[in-house]
Amino acid sequence: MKPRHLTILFAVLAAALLPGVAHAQYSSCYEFACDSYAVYDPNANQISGYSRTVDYWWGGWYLYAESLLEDPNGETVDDVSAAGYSDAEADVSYAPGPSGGYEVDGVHSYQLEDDIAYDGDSYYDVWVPPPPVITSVTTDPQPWYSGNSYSINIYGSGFTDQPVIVGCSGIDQSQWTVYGTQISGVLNVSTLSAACTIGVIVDGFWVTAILLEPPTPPQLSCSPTGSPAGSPATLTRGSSITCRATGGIVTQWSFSGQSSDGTDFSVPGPSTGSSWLGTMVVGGTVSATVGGQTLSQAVTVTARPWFALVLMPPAEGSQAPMGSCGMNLLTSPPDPTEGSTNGVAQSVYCYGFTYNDTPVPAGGPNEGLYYVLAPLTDLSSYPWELNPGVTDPDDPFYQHQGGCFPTIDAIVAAAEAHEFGIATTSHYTEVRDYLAIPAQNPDPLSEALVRLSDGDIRKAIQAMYQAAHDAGNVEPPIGLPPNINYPPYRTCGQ
Amino acid sequence: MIATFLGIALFLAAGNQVADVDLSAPPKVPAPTAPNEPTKPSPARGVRGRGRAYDGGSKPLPGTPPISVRLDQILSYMDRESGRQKWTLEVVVTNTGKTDLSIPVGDDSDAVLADKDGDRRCLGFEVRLGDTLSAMIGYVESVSNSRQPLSIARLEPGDTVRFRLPFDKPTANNKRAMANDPNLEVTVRASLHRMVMDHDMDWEEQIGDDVRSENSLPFWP
Repeated sequence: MKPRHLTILFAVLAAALLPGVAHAQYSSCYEFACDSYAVYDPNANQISGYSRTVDYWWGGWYLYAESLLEDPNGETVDDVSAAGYSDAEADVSYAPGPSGGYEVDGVHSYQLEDDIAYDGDSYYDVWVPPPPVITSVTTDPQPWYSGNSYSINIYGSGFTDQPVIVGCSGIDQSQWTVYGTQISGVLNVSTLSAACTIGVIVDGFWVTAILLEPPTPPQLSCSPTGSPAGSPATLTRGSSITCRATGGIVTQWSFSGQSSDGTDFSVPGPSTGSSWLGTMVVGGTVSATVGGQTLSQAVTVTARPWFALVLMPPAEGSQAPMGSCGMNLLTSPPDPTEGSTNGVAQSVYCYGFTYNDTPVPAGGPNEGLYYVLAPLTDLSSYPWELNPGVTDPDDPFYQHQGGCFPTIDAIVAAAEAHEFGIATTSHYTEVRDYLAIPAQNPDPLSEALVRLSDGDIRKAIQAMYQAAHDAGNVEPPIGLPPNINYPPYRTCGQ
Repeated sequence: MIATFLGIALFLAAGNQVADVDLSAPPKVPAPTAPNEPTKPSPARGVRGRGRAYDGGSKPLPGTPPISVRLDQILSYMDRESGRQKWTLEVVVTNTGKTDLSIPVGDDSDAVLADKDGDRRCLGFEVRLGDTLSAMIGYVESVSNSRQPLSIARLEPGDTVRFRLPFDKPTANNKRAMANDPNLEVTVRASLHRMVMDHDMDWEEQIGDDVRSENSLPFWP
């Protein structure tokens, strides 16, 4: 007796003894054995079956078997015949379309020497389940690298079994959790020698493909890249950078940097995700912890060239008091103890400005840092004032100058040259010359300004202007003429 | 008996601390949005009328607040939100004048200054390493609005307000290195400002001169 025949015999016995686990089946042969069988492979979406006629005792008779496979509508979708001595097996196979009950029908016969023909029939039912409904699949970002664990979630309905992974060896798929509407799993990717693609199959239906890569050294790169290769990523302030990490799972992003004026910045980033992108306003270092290894990429942020110079305003005489630089404050007579022009004149680089700043949008290495969007609007002026004692002919001070004392014209000329003259150094030219140097000018300086708040930005710009103002604090070499006739007034010849 | 009386008199003369203002809360950052989504720019605010006249004499400008600023101590703490170490400087502002003085004590600039119909003032504190403009390591301001009485503290002569000012230690270290001076100490300059609405722009105008702190504190990395 052949082993296959024993199998059939045991199957028949099992069907008789354990009807609860047997598929619906039937056979009615006499003087010989016959049966039908079929099985549905959900992974291959394939029904495979057969019908067989077997002579267990003599093996000398010519046998015949025919296998007909019927779909749930009763339509024959496959029909195979076979003949032979000892046994005849007709194999059928079919990729089922609709779900439902399929049946293999067997037709069996042989003819003895006395020409008496015997025949019989058999059948076997097989059930093709309806496919699960897959609504979505989420996985950790691909590709997946060997030596790591990754998660996958399959959402839908009709799940009856845990997924099957095909396509690559070395995938530990033991950690599946199957619910009716969700399958969650963690796949451990062991060492791969080459890239390959796995397929995830649920209840016999293809769900998704995942690219696996052999281990590669963790790498961090940012775009736009620097030139030549390997130099810091370089971009203009206010433009966007994209940094990507490969070769492992990212567990932390971070940025640290320092502006040109020494202000320090540290921005914690996300603790997941293979990329980090956003607007950059200050250079520094982008770091990523990849597969337990911390990688860094230097980033250089270059200036926006359209920030021109704040210009020196013209000297324009008195103006209404405003803030701390008001004019029209001098009173006659001039006080020889007040200032280098003794209260005869004063002037000021009266600065003012508006600015347009904004925080960097959330999500990138410079998230939340404030920077200046556009050139400053400069509202500065340069007012000056003469003491009424040198402008009002009726003023006693005015009337006591001249003769052996300097004339009013000489006093005024010297005071004006001291305050805002341009032929020689004056308070005015000191500020003007300071502003002419781009590295000191508030507009290009503000271009590079980065701070943690709007108030810090405003104060820093003000400090730039204040530095320009303070450049004018140095007393110019031209002073008032000597021997001015201050009170108590003297007369010539005294 | 006489000593006790003198002690009480000195205590009374020392004035009271009428407020304790913590300005060290981190600046408000815009609520997280989608990555790279445009955010609103800051409210329009300009600065004008700044600059002390050359040859204008040495007298304090009118309006300079009669206050003294004394640096008390530097504290560090662990910020719960960021998990990072932060630093704060405690200063004591005293009314050194002979009459009562109102000073801003509001700590929410956006909320207090939003009502533009009131008389709005700011008391700004520049924290510096040394006393040069380029060595500013922090700036913060308390604000007041006449329509929000809780934002104003009234100080009798000798009364004080304690302020906590944030500053950044890494920046301080950078500035110290850039200045190549390991002995620079922390100082403060206070300045009083008024806010003026003009042509739909909020203008900040300083009132009087800056007030320098009467002492400095060492701050070692």
